[in-house]
Amino acid sequence: MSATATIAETKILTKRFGEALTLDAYVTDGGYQALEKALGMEPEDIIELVKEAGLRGRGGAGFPTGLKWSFIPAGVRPSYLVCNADEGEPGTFKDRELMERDPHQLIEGMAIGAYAIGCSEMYLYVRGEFAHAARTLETAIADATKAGYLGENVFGSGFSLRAIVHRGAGAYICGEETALLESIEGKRGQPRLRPPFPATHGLFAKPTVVNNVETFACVPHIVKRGAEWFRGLGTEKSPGTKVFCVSGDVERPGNYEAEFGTSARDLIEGLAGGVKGGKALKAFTPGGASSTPFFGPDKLDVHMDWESVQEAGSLLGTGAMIVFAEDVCMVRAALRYVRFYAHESCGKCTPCREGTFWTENVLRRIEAGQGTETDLDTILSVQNNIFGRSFCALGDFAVAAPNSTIALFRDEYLRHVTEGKCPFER
Amino acid sequence: MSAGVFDTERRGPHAADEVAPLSEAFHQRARAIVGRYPEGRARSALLPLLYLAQGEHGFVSVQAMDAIAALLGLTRAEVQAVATFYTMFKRTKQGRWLVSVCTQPSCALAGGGDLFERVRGLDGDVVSVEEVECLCACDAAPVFSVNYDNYERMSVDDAVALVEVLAAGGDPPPAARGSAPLDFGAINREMAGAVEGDER
Repeated sequence: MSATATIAETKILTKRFGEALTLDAYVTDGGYQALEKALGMEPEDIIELVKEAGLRGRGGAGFPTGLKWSFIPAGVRPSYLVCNADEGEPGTFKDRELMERDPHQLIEGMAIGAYAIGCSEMYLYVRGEFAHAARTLETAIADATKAGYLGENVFGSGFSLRAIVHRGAGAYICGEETALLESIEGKRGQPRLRPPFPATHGLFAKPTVVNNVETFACVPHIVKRGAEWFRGLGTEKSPGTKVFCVSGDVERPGNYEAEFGTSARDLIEGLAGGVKGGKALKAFTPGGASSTPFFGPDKLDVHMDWESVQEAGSLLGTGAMIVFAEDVCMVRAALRYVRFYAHESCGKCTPCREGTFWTENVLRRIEAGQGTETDLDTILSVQNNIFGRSFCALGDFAVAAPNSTIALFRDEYLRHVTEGKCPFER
Repeated sequence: MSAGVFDTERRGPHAADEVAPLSEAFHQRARAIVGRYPEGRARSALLPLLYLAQGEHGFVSVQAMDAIAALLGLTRAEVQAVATFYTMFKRTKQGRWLVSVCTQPSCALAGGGDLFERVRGLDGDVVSVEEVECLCACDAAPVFSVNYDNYERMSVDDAVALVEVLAAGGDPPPAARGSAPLDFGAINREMAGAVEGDER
């Protein structure tokens, strides 16, 4: 094992995990003080503060949050604030935990955002399967409203805010923000053409901000402790902490909150206890399934921030690290990922709908030992015809697993062909 | 494949399902849910109302879709297009317990695929079994849910035993977050969401 196994978490967002979820407990711990402070500030000063802090979206894209908020045109009302809680990325399990274990932190962050953009009605779009999270949020919203942290005239400031939990119904694509807005409007979750962007024509064709759960959860801390404090965590371009989801073949799978820039080794070998059963590491995804090519063991020392991961040839995504031990079949792993996208393709664009379907078929053939070497070229050719040729990013996401496993583990694919069967147990 | 809206050969696309009319309670609650959304945005209540109707019938019936279309001022086609897009709306009657087994990467590594293969045979009148995608509890693999409450970190054998108990008419034990799952009707009514005045 590595010499860095002594690394500790930096708990900001996850600090209260495991403690009481009640409003009383949250308030006792200083909860809703940031909202009170924010309501005494000018909205544009809050936006400026979030910009200065360098907060970037935690849903995968890393877009600067303050900048997003500043796009809301002044004077066009109503405007809407929407929380994207449609977490569904294979390997990601942070947003569900943030909602279930500290619901008021999210609500407070959203309330501050709502005030900053002049919104009086905010929506939480919670993935349908997250029954417990939605239940927890509905209770928390009712409690916060009763106590005056939401509702009419919050803290006597004249600011009023209503919160509505709207549950999804089983569609990964609704995590794409314009598909999500379609879904709140009661439509099929298919992405919209942009421009116009949600900042001017979002929910109900009104100015709208959509942010991820983890992004909102950072906001109260920034308001309370300041931009400089936040910038003191993480790296220059990726400030703050990140809740990394480490799962798969590790000793201690779980959510680990660490500063941006922490090495993959510290997360996998340190916090998560290394590969299960003392096996060797074969591969890992640094950021979830979506468009984040696999890394081999040579990439363990990559720093986990947006810039470093991209420089190393993948993407940070949602920080979902799935770890594969030496005895895992990477063809089967790629097949599982591709099946996901084939199922979740909304069907709108031919390259994505047909490309994911046929890639799954060819991969299945190879895994069953009935493939040929030219099948690899077929897959790569299909992938290249998906990438960049669909309306939204879902098709692009699907390309990472087959392309990167063929690049890294071509010999494994070929063994399936020459041996006429899958040479692995798992 | 199960019989669905487009099973035209058997009974035509809009043939009535064998269900009781939607209750007065449905219509009352439906009005409150429509009231949750801004003026003129009744369509936003479509997903919630499909859940509410599914809670009454155990699936989304043709009659329910027509009734919801009338309520929201939509066409039958608009409602059916939405109902068939989302996987949590079912077009065939579900059992009291819907068992959803994740077979995505982290769960697959922990035996999720075996678990699904072993419980799929229990699909019947009481238990419905489906293979699903990532339930976002990968640290607790293999994960499965009963009516959308997750069970975590169970051995495949223990998980199979749990589903066998359900299939034999038993009740589920408390799930990973402490509460026992609601039955299929109740969870769907809950999915429709809270309205002002609800006791919580």
